Formats: sequence, structure tokens, C-alpha cells
Amino acid sequence: MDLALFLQLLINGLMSGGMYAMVASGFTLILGVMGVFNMSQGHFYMLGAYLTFAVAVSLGLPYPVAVLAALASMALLGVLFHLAIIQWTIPHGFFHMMLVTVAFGTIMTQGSLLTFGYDAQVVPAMFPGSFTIGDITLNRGKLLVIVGAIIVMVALYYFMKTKMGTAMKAAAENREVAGLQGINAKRVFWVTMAVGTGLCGIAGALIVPILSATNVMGTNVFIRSMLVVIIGGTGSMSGALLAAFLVGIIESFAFQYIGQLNLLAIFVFVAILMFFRPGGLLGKPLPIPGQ
Amino acid sequence: MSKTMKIMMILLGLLVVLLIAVPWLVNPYVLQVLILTVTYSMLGLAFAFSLRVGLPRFDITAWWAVGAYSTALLMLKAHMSFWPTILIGGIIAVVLGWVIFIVAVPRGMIAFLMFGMVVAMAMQQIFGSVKFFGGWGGTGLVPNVTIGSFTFANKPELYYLGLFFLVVNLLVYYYLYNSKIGRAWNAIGSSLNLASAVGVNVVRYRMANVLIGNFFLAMAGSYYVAYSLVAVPTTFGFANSIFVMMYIIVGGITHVLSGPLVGAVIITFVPEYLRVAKEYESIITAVITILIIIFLPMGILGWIDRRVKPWFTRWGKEERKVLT
Amino acid sequence: MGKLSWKIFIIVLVMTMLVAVLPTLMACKAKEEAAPATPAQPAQPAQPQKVLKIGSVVTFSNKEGLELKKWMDLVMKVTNAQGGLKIGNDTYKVEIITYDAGSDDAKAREGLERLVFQDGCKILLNMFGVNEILSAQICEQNKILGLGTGFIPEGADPKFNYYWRTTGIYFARAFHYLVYNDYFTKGAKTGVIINPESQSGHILAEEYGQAMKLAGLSVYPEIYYPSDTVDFGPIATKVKSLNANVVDLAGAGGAQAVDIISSLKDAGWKGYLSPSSLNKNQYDNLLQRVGKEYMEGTEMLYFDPRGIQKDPTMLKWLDEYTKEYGEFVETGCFWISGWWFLKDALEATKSTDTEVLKKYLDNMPHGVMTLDGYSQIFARPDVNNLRTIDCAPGHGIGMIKNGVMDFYRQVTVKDQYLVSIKAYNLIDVYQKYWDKYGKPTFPPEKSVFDFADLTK
Repeated sequence: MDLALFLQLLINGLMSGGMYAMVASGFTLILGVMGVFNMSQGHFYMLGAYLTFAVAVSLGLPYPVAVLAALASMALLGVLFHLAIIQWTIPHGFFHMMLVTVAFGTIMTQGSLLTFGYDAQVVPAMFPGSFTIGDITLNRGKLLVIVGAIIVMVALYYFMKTKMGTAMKAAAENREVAGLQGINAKRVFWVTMAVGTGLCGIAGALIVPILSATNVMGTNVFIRSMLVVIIGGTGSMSGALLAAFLVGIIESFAFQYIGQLNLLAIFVFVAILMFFRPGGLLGKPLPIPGQ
Repeated sequence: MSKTMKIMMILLGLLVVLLIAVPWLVNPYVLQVLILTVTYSMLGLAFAFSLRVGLPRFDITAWWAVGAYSTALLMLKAHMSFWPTILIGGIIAVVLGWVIFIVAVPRGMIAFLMFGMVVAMAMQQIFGSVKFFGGWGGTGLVPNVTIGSFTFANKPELYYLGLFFLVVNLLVYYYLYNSKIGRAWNAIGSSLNLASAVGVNVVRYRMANVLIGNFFLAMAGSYYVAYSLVAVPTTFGFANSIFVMMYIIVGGITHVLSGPLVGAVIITFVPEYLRVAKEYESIITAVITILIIIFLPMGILGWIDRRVKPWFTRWGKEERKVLT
Repeated sequence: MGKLSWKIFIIVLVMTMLVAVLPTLMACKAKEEAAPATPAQPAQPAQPQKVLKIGSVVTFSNKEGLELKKWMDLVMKVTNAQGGLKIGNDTYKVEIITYDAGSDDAKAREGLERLVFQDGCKILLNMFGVNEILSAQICEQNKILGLGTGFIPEGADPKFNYYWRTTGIYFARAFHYLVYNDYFTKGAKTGVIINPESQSGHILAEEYGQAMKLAGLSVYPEIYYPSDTVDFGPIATKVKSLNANVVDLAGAGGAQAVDIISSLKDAGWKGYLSPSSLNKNQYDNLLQRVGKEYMEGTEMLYFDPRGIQKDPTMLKWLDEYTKEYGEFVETGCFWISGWWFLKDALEATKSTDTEVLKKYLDNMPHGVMTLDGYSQIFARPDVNNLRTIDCAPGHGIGMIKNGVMDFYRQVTVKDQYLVSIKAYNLIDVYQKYWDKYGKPTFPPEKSVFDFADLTK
């Protein structure tokens, strides 16, 4: 395999990986801290992409503004979703919460269908074109997604070091003890929801110059982000980051050599990994309520 | 008590008569929806069955598909009769399930849940992509199911066949719940730690539960082929699991046997009346689901338990008072 | 108590918001996505009219399906406004009932059976996005006419006696042959087909590959991508590493085609593209993303038939559509073809009897004019089906010049039929059939291919 092809495949894998990392870390955060299996995670990503389109193209504002708008509005929607629906279902248990997220996802899909129509939408790239080094072609837009994902993940890392972040971690590890230490569980929950869905919003905003926004894009990413969470270990943020890039790269390389069954390659990888490392790559799964 | 029991028995008897009389009462279209409902009820029973031991199954479509494909391929390629394929499909589902679940079952609920989703999607992709199974267009058409010289070709016969399978499912599950193994499952379901503390081998019992479920899921698949005469990968999409979960929660999560049936009937027939709304249909269904979850967390049957049953008991008591 | 009322308050608030906001958004969008019109009552004095009930199941989850539904609504509305359809001595009011095909077979079957049993339709028309086996099976079981859409092998199976493919692309190889041939003469040597991993993806890739070979290109193994692909970069990388000259996106949906083409550009690939069709919005998106130089000279299906159509009746229909729903955005007008076949059969036989109509459609010696050109149905001796069941559509090819898609050439029915037979290498089988039953007759259109060219 020559270097040019290798680098191309690597860049493709890193880009998808960055995207999965953002969606999956939001998913694993919500699952770990709140115990909510958020099936609508992918839908927030889809809506983020559509909103970026609405702001950047329909309103004609600059792309960075659109990214921030998508981040803010998705975080806000997540908080609203939590306050209006999820928090009332928490006492009913795990499945009720899960089903509620499914229903909310349906509402979001159908709502975006009614608002934005069936057309796939694109946003013009901020840095169009590619640059070439030798016979290696690197696309600027893709590099932007990778850089953006890294910045977001670094920001998330520092956020988890703050007081709120520590409280979230404490709540994830042991709810009762966290309550005893005087952590305001309600506030922790809605902040978690905001961060988790905001991550999806920013992922959707970053990807939309590369990939058209469609109604199914959320489901497709959700499937991958679930694989990421299995590989990385439930509730583990750094595990999710590592696993996301791993999934992206396996997917990219597998497509080159075995074609359409590339997702199956990841499934097999997951099965083998689960056999040897039940807690995921970085071990130590977090206890989930109802386990 | 005896009075209530009698009323219940009469109601049950009426229900049975109604179910048997259905083909004469409705048009073939409604009958077809009922056949689908029967199939989904079987899936729902299997889901609720493993939920009893704390394992949510999102892989039901995989085993449903395994049953359907075994029946379709055995009938088409080996020219077998329908009946033995049920058993063979079930055994395939159990063996294959055992190989796969050896990884997933000991890892606890969340891991099992996500692993199940992955298995369901992988299975669909395998059935679609591997040439042997007939590709994404599905297998060829299988012949109608026969028994002796009788052919299950029309809707009413197929409906009765489905009812027969459903009753078999119900009887087996009912028997299992009330046996020794059922008590162990109940113990695991109510408290995992307690169950393992008193010496119940959690992994083994869970495995048994899931594999029994697999057998009946495959049976549902065989029945589906008897009705649709073809197995197509897209039918066995992962979304079906979500619907099945909806049936159980809407029906009543605590009613293991009747919950899925009631939920399936409600979720299938309510959108039928919502067809006016067209684009809004799925939004309305979603909103109704959310409302039911928030306000009736124990489902329709749970609500009946709380609100309607006391009324019956009171009525029974009053009558008894009058009599004595 | 206080908690509960808060709970109810917030929930009611959010639900009201949802219920209130969505219709408002809908209303803003209403002009573009106009709601299906209800059939207008004829203005003339009401007279007891017979009703011709026609059923259809169409996928509502893409724009083509929705546009097809609009076309059927339009046909119903205009025909009834003109006083109904005259069949023999009776005038019939046309009623076309359309249901959503949903995402899987169970939902589609539900719709079909509802049409047959609940609504009492005797004719099913233009099932689009529905598994053909399903439509054919239901028509066969209930002895109902089915004029469907599709191209899978099972749809032409001789065991189905009540099913025709009045829109389809089995006999449509000339379209791609002519495109590939143009690219070949421009210097292309190798080609590759990129298709989604689905039933139609596999069948189309095989059929188009044969047309590609016939045009002189050497063909790489097809590239399939899973239908839930997130990023198309790996596909582009693969194409780049193969270094194919022609990339055909035969079965890829328009939106995916746009993403694939822009990924190809990002990967630094340059060559000849053949997206089978793009709608207006996708076309605009594509030009915006890759620029017009990249697409220069690309040939593809021409979605707006007004540039090609010369038949006055059809032009009138096209005008009616633009008057009612605005501009053409999709290829919906291709899939309505079944209606013209049905109308022809009803008027020629002067009957609505299933068996009479069946006999007529089984031996249809001529084609009918449809919105995008003359179409004809032919027998399929290669699968021992001697009823005229499979459609050869006439299409227009458009070419992109200076960023504008322009009408380039017309593909005639005769070309489609003959090139398809040659591409599938079925000349011997068809020769035997022609010797026995005679060659089919074609409309007087200027064709590139003739029977003599088959053996060349």
C-alpha cells in the first residue's frame, strides 16, 4: 500500500472518527450521569446540521455564527426536552426513559421533514478545495472537521475538570454519595443534557459542509456511536474518544478492502473485544442504575 | 372473590368466542392487520419474557429473521414440509444464540442491550448481503403451508394458525412462570443482588431464559413466512424492536402475558384511526406515547388494575352483601 | 399536588407549542409543498356517475414518490373536471386512492390489502417503492390488474398473470449505452459503478455494467456502499485508487450522488460522471459544491420533459401540472406512465372488465405516448413470458453545458429495446421469438439502432 492511499484512508477515518467522538461522548455522558439511554442522540445531530443550514444559507449569516447557533439551540432543546419530558419519567425507570427519547426522536425527524422538506441540504464550505503535497490530496473541509473535533474534545476535557464537571463525574460514579456531598442533582442533570445534546449540535454543524443534511443521517451516526460506546466502555469519556477514532479508521480501511461489509467488520471486532475485555477498551465500566 | 372470578371467567370466555368469531365479523383487511398483530404479540411476549430477568432484548428481530429464513430456505431448497422447519429454525436460533450470548449475557443489562442492537443490525446485513440467502430482494416465494390435504391459503385459516401459535406461546410461558425456574427468574427480576446472594446462578438462568425466548421468536418467524410466503431482510429491521417495547410499556410492563397483547392491539389499531392526519400521524403517535408514559406509567392494564378493578371488586362485594 | 399541577402545566405548554408551531411552519411551506388537492366536483349538473376506483401505494418518504402522488391527484382532478372518463357508453368518475408504502414490506402489504379489500379497487397503478413480488402476488391472488413499476427479475416471472411493468427500466439500456459511448469516444477507457447495497443497487449495477461493456469500456468490479453510510470519503478514495475514467452512480439516490461526487472531487479524482438523474435542488447543490467546470459535459436523465415533448396533449398535461404545483423538481412524471397505458386500454376495449383489459394488455402491439416520450411494453421470451409485460421507456438525455443542463438527445423505444437485448446477450432467444411471432412494431421515430445492428 502506498503512502498516499494510506494517508487518504487515515484522514477519512479520522474525520468520521471525530464526528462519532462528539456524538458518542454526548451519548455516553447522558447514559453515565443520568442513566438515560438517549435514542434521540442522532436526531439532535441531524437537527444541528439542518439548523446550520437554516442559519448559514437561509439567513445568510457567516458559518462560524451558524456553528455557534447550532450548538446553543441544540443545548437549549436538550434542556427543554429534559425539563418538559425526561425528568417526569425518571421515577418510572430505564425503559420508560428510553421509550420517551425514541418518541421525541420521531417528533424531531417528522418536524424537520415538515420544516425543511425532503431535500438534502448543503452549506458552502468555509475553506473550499484541497491542497496537494506530492500525490497526496488533502481536503481542507475534512481537516477542519478533524481540528474542530479535537478542539471540542479538549474543551470537554477541561469542562470535566471544573466544579460542575466533577459533580457530573461524582453523580455518574455514585448517585447516593453525590447526593450526600450536597451536589444538586437536578442542576447536574440539566447541564449534562445540555452538554450531551450540544455536542451533537456542533457535530452536525461541522459536518454539514462535507455531507448533505438528510433525515436519516442521525440514525446512521447513532448506530456507530453505540458501537463506539460498547468498545470504549459505558460512561467512559476517554474510552469513547479512543474508540470513536478506532471505529472511524476501521470503517475507512475495511471499506477499501472488503467493501460494503465494512460495518460487519466492526461488529466482529466488537464481539471479540467484548469477550476479552467486557468493560470496553479502557476497562472499568460505570455502574448503571437498574443493572 | 368467587364472584369477581366468575365475572372474569365470563369475560375471558367472551373474549375467546370473539377471537374465534373474528373472521366472520371483519373484512379481510382488518383480518390481515390482526394477523400482523398476532405476530407482533409473539415478539412482545418474548421481549417481556426476558425483561423478567432484567434483560431488554433488542435483538428480537434477528431471531425472528433466523426463524423466517430457516423456514423459507428449508421449504424452498430442501423441499421440506412447513412443520419440521419450525423445530429446525428454533434449534438454529437457540444454538446460534448460545454462541453469541455467551459473550453478552454475563456482561449485564446495558451491554446486553447494546450488543443486542448490534446483533440485530448485523443479522439483517448478513441476510441481505450474502448471496445464499437471496439478497436484499428476499427469498423466492414458498408454497402454502399444508397439513394433510388442507391448505392454509386464505386469511381466516392463517389467522387461526397464528392464534394457535400464540396460544402455544402463552401456555409455555405461563407454565414456565409458575414452575421452579420461573420463581428463580422472578427473584432475579426483583433483585439481582438478592438472587445471587441466595445462590441463584444468575448467568445460567438468564441464559436459559434468553434461549427459550429465541426458540419462540424463531417460531414467530416461521409463522410470518407461512403468512407472507417470502422472507425479505428489510422486514426484520431493528425499528421493530422499538415498536415491541412500545407495546409492552403501553400495555403494562407489569403484566407479562397480557401486557404485550393489549399494547400490540392498541398501537396497531389507534394509528388506523389517525390516518386523517397523514404527515402528522407519526407525531401524534409519538405525543400520545409520551403522554401515556408520563401519566400512565404502568400502562393501560396498570390503569385498569388501579381504577377499574376496584370498581369490580366493590361491586362484587356489595352484591355479596346483598345476598347474605 | 403542587408538583403534579406544575408537571401538567409544563407538558401542556410544550405540547401546545409543538402542535402550534408545526402547522405554522407547515403553512409557510405550503406553497412549495402544496397539500394534495381534493378532487374538484365537475361543474355540470350532477348525474349518476359510475366510479372507477384505482388504488396505488407509493413511498411518501422521498420526493419522487410525493411528486408521483401529485401527478395522480392531478390526473384525477383534471379528468373529473372534464366530466370523467368516457369508456364505451358510460362516463366514469375516476378515483385514485394512494397510500404510503412506508419503510418496509409489512406496511406496503397493509396498504395494498387495504386497497383491495377495504376500498374495493379492481386496478392497482404505479406502485412505486414497493417490492414488486408483493404487488404481483396480491394482484395474482385476487385477480386484480396491476400496472406496476420495477425491474427485479421476479417481477417478470410468468407465474404472475395479472401484473405488468408499465414503467420500468429493464429495456432501457440504450440510455446508458449512448452516454457511455459518448464518453468512450471522448477517450474514456475504464469505468466503475457505485451503488448502494440493496436489491435495486445490485440489479442495476449488473445491468448497467453490461451496457458499459457494450460501449467498449472495461469495467471494474462494482463498488457497493451500505445504505447507512455516513461518510462517502472512503468510496472516493477507492475510486481514486482504481483510477477509473467513468464513474456511474446508477442506483444512488440523488442526495447521495451529490455527496459522492463532491467526495470524488475532494479526493482529487477527475473523469466522466454519470449520475442517472438529479432533481433540481440536488443539481443546484451539486453545482454549488463542486463548481460547474467539474460537471461540464456530464450527461444524465433530463428531469424536465418540456424541452423534449412535442405531443400537444402531453404538453397540456405538463402545463396543468406547473399551473397547479409549480416547477418540476423531480422525476415523478416518469413514474405516472402506467396511467396512459391504462387509459389506452380502457378506451380501446370500451370496458372495465378485468379479463377484457387483461387480454388487451397481454397482446399490446403498440405503445402509448407518455409525459417523457413514447413508451411501449414488450414480451420477455428470455424468461418464457410471452405476454407483453415489460416496458421500454423513451427518455431524454440532458447534457451540462456552462453549468446549465440542456436537452441533448432523445432515446427512442426501438433503441432501448434492441440495445438492451444486445447488452444482455439475449439475441438468440429473442431471434427465435421474432421468427415465431414476428418482430414488434415501433413508432416512426429516428433511431440509431436497427435489427441489422444486433449481429454486428
